This record gives sequence, C-alpha cells and structure tokens, in this order.
Amino acid sequence: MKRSRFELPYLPLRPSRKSANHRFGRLDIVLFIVLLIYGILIIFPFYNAFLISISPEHVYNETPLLLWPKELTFASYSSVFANKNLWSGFRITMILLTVGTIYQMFFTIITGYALSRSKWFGKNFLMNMILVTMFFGGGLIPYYYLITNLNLHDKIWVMIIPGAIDTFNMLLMRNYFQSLPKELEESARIDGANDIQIFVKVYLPLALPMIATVGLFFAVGNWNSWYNAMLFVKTPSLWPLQFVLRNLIITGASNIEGTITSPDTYSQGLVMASIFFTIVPMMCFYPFLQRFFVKGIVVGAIKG
Amino acid sequence: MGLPAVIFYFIFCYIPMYGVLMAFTHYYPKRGILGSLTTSFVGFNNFKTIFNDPYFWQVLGNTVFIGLGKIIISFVASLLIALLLNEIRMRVFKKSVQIIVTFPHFLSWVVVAGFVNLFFVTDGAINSIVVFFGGQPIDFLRNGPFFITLLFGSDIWKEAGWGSIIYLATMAGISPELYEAADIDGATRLQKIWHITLPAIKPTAILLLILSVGGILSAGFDQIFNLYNPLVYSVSDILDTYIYRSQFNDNVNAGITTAIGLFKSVVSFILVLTVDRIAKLSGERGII
Amino acid sequence: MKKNHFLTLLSLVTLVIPLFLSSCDPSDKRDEYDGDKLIVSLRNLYFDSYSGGDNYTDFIEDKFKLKLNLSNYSWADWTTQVNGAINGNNVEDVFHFNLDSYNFASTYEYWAQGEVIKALPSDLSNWPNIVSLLENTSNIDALKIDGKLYGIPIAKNIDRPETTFAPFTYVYRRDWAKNLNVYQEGDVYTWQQFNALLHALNLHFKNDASSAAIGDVEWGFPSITNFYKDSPHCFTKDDEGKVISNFHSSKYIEGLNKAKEFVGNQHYYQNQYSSKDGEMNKRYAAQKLGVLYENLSYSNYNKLRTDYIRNYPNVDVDEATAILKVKGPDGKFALEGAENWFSMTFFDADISDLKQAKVLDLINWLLGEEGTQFAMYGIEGYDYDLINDEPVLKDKDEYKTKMNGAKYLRYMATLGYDTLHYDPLVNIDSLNLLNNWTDEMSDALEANELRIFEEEPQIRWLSSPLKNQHSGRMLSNANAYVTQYAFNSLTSIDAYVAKLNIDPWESVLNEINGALK
Repeated sequence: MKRSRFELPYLPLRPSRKSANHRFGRLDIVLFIVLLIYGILIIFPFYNAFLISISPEHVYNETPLLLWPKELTFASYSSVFANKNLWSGFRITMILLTVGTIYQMFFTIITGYALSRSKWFGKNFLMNMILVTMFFGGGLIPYYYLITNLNLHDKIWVMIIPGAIDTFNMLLMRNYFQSLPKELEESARIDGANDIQIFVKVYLPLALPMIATVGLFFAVGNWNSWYNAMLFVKTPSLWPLQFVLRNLIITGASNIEGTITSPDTYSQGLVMASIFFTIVPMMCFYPFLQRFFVKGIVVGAIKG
Repeated sequence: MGLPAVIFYFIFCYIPMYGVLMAFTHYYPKRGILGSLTTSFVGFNNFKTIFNDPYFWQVLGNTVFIGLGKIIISFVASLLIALLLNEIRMRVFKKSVQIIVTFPHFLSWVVVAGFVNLFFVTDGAINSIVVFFGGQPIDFLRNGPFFITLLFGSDIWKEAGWGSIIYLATMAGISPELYEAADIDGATRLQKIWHITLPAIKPTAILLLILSVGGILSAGFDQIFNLYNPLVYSVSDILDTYIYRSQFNDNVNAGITTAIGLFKSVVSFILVLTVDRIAKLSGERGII
Repeated sequence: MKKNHFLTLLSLVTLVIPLFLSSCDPSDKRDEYDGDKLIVSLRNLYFDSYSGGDNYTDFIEDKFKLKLNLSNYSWADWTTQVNGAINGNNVEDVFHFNLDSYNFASTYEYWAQGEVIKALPSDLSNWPNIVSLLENTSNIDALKIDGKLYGIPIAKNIDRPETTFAPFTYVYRRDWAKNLNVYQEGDVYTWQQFNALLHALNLHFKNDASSAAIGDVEWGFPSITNFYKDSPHCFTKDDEGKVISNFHSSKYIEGLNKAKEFVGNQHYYQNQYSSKDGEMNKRYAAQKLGVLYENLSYSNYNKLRTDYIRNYPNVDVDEATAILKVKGPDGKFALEGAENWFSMTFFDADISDLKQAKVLDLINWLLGEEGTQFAMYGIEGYDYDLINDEPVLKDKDEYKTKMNGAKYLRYMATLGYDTLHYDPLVNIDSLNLLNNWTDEMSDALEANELRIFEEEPQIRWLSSPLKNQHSGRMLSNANAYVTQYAFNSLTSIDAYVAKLNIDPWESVLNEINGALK
C-alpha cells in the first residue's frame, strides 16, 4: 500500500492498439534493424572510449577504432585515481548534488504549487514576469555585480544559490499540481486544514512522482554544472567535477595538474579515463531511474 | 507561497536587468552602471558600432543558421525515432532502445565534446575508417562545413532520443479505435501513420516548435563553447560565444557586448510573440 | 486573503529596494584590519599553488603589519578571471596580468583612464630597489600615461641588458643526431643541415605515427616561419618604412610555404596544431620527438630535463636535451625580440595610498639584499646557517618541500632571473647550459649573425580606434589561417590571402600609417 504511492500515474507508453495485423512482417525487420543501428551508434562511443582508457598508447595509435581490447593497461586509471583535483571535484559535486538539489527542490516545489493554486493577487502578473525571464536577461556584467554584492565570490554557494528555481522544472511542477483535482482542497478546508497543511498533507504526497522527476533533473543538472564555477570560483579545491574535467579536456590534456603522468600514459587515454570517472555513477543509476525521467516529463508536458 | 519565487526572480533575474542600460554607455567599471550612464552616456552609438561591424552580421548569420538548423533537424529526427519506436512491437527491445537513446541527454556537453574530439581528430577513429577505404584523413574539427555537420550530428546524437519521448507519449494517447477503423478500411501501416498518427501529434509538435523558436538565437552556447576552436570561428561563432569572448578574452567594452545581448533578447522576444500569434491565427493553441 | 498577499508583496518590495540600490553601484573599498594588520589581497599567476600560511608568510606579515590573502591564476583562465573581475569591479587589491598578448596599448590606456588601476606614486624615492628596477626596464616610457606609471613591469633579464631576444628556440636529441650521422659540431646547423637533420629523424620515426621529427609548443606553430618573417605579430615595415601586414608579406608567405612543405613531408606530428598545453613537452620527454620548439626559460628547460631524468634515468640528459642552434636560409640565427619584462603587477584603483605604500614597502624589501636572502634561503637558524658570511642550507631537500613563500611574493616584481645564480634550489647544470646559449647568441648578435625580429614599439604601443577594435581578432584569425594553410585545409595561397582579407587590414594599416606620420 505504501509502495503504491510511488507508482506513476498510468500512461500507455506502449501502443494500446491490438490490430488484426499480428504478423511479423518485412517492415518489422526493417524497423528492428534501423533501431538496432541507432542504438549501436549511441553505445559505440562509450564502448570505444572505454577500450581506449584501458589500452596503451601504441595500441591506440595503431587502431584508434578499437573493437575489442588488444592489450590491457591500467596506467590511465591509476593516474586518474591519483589525481587530487578529480577527487576534490568529486567531493564538491557530491555537496552540490545533495545540498543543492534539496535547496532547489524546496523553492521549485513551493513556487510551482503557489502558481498552480486557483487565484491570488498578482499570480498572472508573476507568471508573466517569470516567462519573460526565459528570454530576457541583463547580461554578464550586472550578474557579476550581483554575485559580488551578495558576497558569493569564490564560495561553494555561488554554484547553489543562484539556481534556486529552474523555470522549466517549476512549470513541470505547476502543471502537475494543476492536474490534481481541486476538490481535495475544498474537502480539506472543510476539515479545518490551513493552507500549509493542505499543501503538505494533501498535495505533496500526491505529487511524489513528479517530485521524483524534478529532483532527478536537478540532480543531473548539478552533476553537470561548471559554468558558474568557471566565472566565479578561483580556488581549485572548490571546483566541481565537470569543471575539472573541462580543464582536462578542453584546455590541457597531458599537463593535467595533480596527475602523476608517467611515460605510459597519453592524453587520449587520460581524458577517456577521466570521462569514465565522471559518468560511471550516472551510467549505473540511469537504467533504473529512466522511467522517472520519462514519465515525469511526459505527464508535465502533455498536461501543460 | 509565491513569496520566495518573487524574491528569487527579483534578485537573480530582475535586478541584473537594469544592466541593459549599459548598452547605452561607454562603460567604466569603476563608475558602475548608473555612474557610467550619467557620465558617459552614448545613446545608440554602441548599436551603430555593432551594426557597422561585418563580423557581427556574420555571427548573426551563423546563429540563425545553426539555431534554425537545429530546430528543424532535431524535430525531424525526434519525430522519426518516435515513429520507429511506436511501430516496433518487441517490448523488451523497445524498452532497451529507449533507455539507451535517452541516456546521452543527461551527459554534459563537456563529456560529449570529449567524445567528439576523440573520434574526429585527424588520427582518430573516424579517419582510420576513411584511410582504410583509401581516402585522405579529413580535418573534421577544423574545417567549416564538416564542423557544422558535426554540430548538428552531435546534437542529434545527444538530444534526439530524448526529444522523441514526448511524441511517443502523444502517439500512445491516440485512440485505438481510429487504427481499428483504418484496418477495416484496409489501410497500410504507412497510410495509418500519415492519416492518423501524424495529425494526432500535430498540436504537440506545433507547441514544441513555438517553444523552440524563442531559442533560435541561443543556438547552444554549451555545445559550441566546448567544441569550437579559432579555425572555425568564422562559421560557428554564435551571438553568445561572441559576447563571451568579446567580454572575457578580447576585452571589448562591456557597453558593446551588452548591446549585442540586448539585441538578442529583443529579437528573441519578438520572435516568440510573432510565432505565438501566427499559431493562434491558424487555429492552434499558443503559449502566451 | 488577497489583502494579505498584497501587503506581503508591498513589504517585500520595500525590503528589496535597498538591496537593489546596493547592487547598482560598486561599493568603495575601505582598509580593513585583522588586529593590527592591514588586509591585502594579492593574485598572481606565479604564486602557482602557493597560498601562504607558513612561517615565511607569517614573518613577512609580522614585519610589515600586513595580512596577505594570496590566490593564483592558471594559464587557462587567466584572461577570463582578470577581465571578469575588472568589469565586475571585484578585482584583487594587487593583481597580475599580461596585457602584452593582445591590444596592449588600448587596454592599458582604457584601464588607466577608466580609473581601473592605480598609478604608482610620482615620488618613488622611498623604494630605491623598485626605482632601480624601473630604470632598467626597456621601453618604460611607453608604459607611462601622462607621465604616470600604472603598475610594475615584471623584470626578466634585467641584469643582462644585451639580451634583447627571447629564448624561444629548439632543443634536440644530440645522441640521435650522432647515431644518424647528421650531427654538427657545437650544435650549430646551417639551414641545409637542419633540413637534413629533420629528414633523418623523420626516416628514423617512419613507422611510428605517434612520433615525429619536430614538434612546436602549441603557441609556437609554425616555428619554421621564424627564419623568414620580420615580425612576430600583425604588423611590420617594408623597405620604405611603411607599415604593412606581416601575414601578407612575401617573406612570411615564403616561410609559410616551407612550413607547409615540412607538414607535407610529415616532419611535423600530424596532430601538431591541435596539441594542448604541455602536450609537446610531454611527447619530447617520452622520446617521441627529435626536436622541440619551446620557450626555454630556466623553469621550462629545467622541467624538461627533470622529466627526462625521471623517465629515462639511463639516458644522458645533456645529450637528450641539447640546445639546437639553427641558421636560417639567410645564414643567420633568428630569434624573436623581447622586452626585458613580462606582464605587470597592477594595483586596484580603489585601494588606499597607505595600502599601496605598504605593498611597495614589501616589494622593495623583497628586492633588496635582506629580502632576497630571505626569499632564497629562508630563515636563519631554521633553514640555513651563516658559514663565513655565506648562507648554507641545513637540509636542501627538506627546504625544497617547504615552498618558501617569499620567493613566490618576489614574482610580483621579477621573474627571478636576477637571482638564479644565487638560488640554492636552482639546478646549476640547466642554468649554465642556458647561460652559455645566451652568451653565444649575444656574441652572434654582435657579429651580425643573429637576426632579431620584432614588432616595432611605436607600432605596438600605438592606440588608435580601428587598430584597437580589430587587431586582436586579426591576429588570432591570421594564426588560424596560417595553420589551415600549412595543414592543407586552405589549398592555395590565394585562398589563404582571401581568408585574411575578410578582416579590414587595409583600413587598419591606413590608420596606423596615418597616425605614425
């Protein structure tokens, strides 16, 4: 019974038609092959990159397009695991992931809820003002001033606080709350519940599937964030994982600070090993969480 | 409960908005924005400067080409994938493909740029195929047309699978009776797609297109910033990367970069309003 | 209910208005103290990962009643961080930047006149060591605006005024050259011999795609053009003294064609031009290059040698990192001209005179005898003992790990060339090899065997509207087209020139010529 709360609302992702046409026709084979190729195109870069990360340089130079491992070496990985910057980046990213996600969800959920409620003064006005921000901005310099005046420079908070509400996720949340029946509020009010009680006791539990989705979006966003760090964080020990990775990939691959480079390592191998360092956690969780992402966005978008 | 939102948007979106005033000044950092406004107001001179710079028009052209191209290509690709997935009947296979093709959406462009750089360098995997078939190695990353193709290609690789989800869900909501009726009339699968599936997803498609039109001039800062290099600036520099580089690398006066930013905001806004109006006039649901 | 919301909204707006106003304008910096110590923030590329908080910094802080907040830049984000901080008015009290690489004149002028940076006091007599440093700085007048100097140029070869060239040159595998029978006595190669050397190395590496005869550090490609071109940047002068484009000149194009030939013959590593920061050094130190073009400053050269010794203890490092001296087709060595300073230390315009004076006190002391000894040897009795009036380190290896902060602070005024011979941590072998090379080149200059190419100061420090607006982009674009041409993405010289001409060379050149008349 308790578990069922987490069950997502029914959505027929599978075509529900059962036509008379059960035969496995030629078209099906074509479809199968096309989709198979597409799937392989997606997977192959990961596979090849992984092989490169465990191959020595001469193997990579001879056959950049590795199809199977020819010779194993863990030089790249041992270099990457010995890199202090990557580990400190990992630590910072974990903080962003936990603190940041909770903080962002709090703001986004209550805003989405407030904007979904029937009527209050200035609601439409606020809604329009929010939509405007999706297209209008003041530019980099004023933003820089703001960060300076809020005294957020070179602090871990600069990667958390400005992201309190993501307009897109907030709209998802609002749309979901809007889709819940209004009668619940009325009956709760008759029972003497106040606004906050109605929100916490009635609507919040019903919105758990969407909350899970939005939370995951935020988590992924935090995992992938680097831009604010690039502009505002000067202390290397406060750099998040993606920014460290960016420095490795985009600016200097072989001169990786904090990495013990031996003659056995080479830049491509190191870069690929570092990439796997950052995406393996996501690869492990994604297959199990995918349905939350998908169903959440579908519910939010279609009902919106 | 709307209070935190008001505070948040006010502080982080509206306070910086007064910065657009910088577009009308020759900006002096120490005088601040209001200070520059009172002491070195230049009217529309910054706009004259940028409109007289041929490079600005080149960048604008790049932006529109890349932005529009991405919208069209990703629309077609997502739709195709959704149709394929909708037609396939092996459930487990379909689920696995779905999981796989939506995954890249959750990678950062930093990671995808790492992959692209790895595969498309002159001595990389793709060129080893080219050489195997007797060709000369191609400099994909530093040759204009190839690089633009890579931009579109990597965008499809990363986003098309994810983009198909919404269409797929809309297709799933189509009433089965329609298909059954078509079966009775002896329609082929292609005919059913053409006459039932596509019309059914038209409203969703139009809504998504409207939403994306506002982003034409954004064209993907993250992607291009992580992938481009000086050799392809001439084809891949978009407004956002141009603003960023002018501001932080070329030390162009912030008045000018802000003017470019303001230009972008205004045009985007007009675009959204226009497309919304057109959509409403042609009987579709708008967004505003 | 509605009224309630309206009230909250109202109170909110009143609450936020002060915040709004506070963010409109930059707030003034006031001197802040930690106890009796004045807090000052310093940021410098060469602080490296040093961040203070040790015995040395404590000593200095006590001595000067300062509290130092140290932070550093990295090469990758130097420009972004400085420009962001300048425009966002959040720059450190004392910061470090190299304006040299792009549009020096206009940015310096803009900073000075826009009151971004604070001029040095007109009377510097309290700081004699700084005065003597400035007196020996080349072209110092070009740095003065209305007679005022807005920062301290960081000295390089200050005590060797004859060194007007940069050590951007080649190291090579002398042992391989000997094995391949192309070695020349004294490491001096004529143009033909240099070509033969590369050819032999290329044959040697024939079957290994990851190796190549020659590699240039990522900013230095194509180094071959050095032997042809007249200027390292955009502009040069023709025989009649008219300013012309370096990249259009026939000499440059001749050099470029030579570079293209080298690329075509696969003398260069195929992915040379996409190499990243430090990649070529690493390739060289992994025995994958025969010749490396690099900025052979002491630290770079010593690092290369150290890497070599670590990677290949059995190889004779002197043989493996010999400095190569190449004469161009005109029979002369060719080196890029250089000022005897690189980058500057600036003061934020908002800091008080007192704070600036205290920082100048600190720098002046570090440059003096006592400060230099402190920076090189640390604390007497703790790090070193005086034996016959000469400082002798107690434990060199241990001292090395302590990272004496005074040495890093000294980089605010000098790159340390003046103390290399005095520094106990300097590897004397590397230093001597470099000094020998410098002496040889100085002799060659006197004997008219060295051609120095440079952009004339009067062009370089000219600030004019079109030049300011375009020349940064013109330089980076031209370098891009050069690479494209060398690597065959631009197949003909016409296509190369056509690409160049997208930028407004003609109007910029006209403006410069007009201004110089």
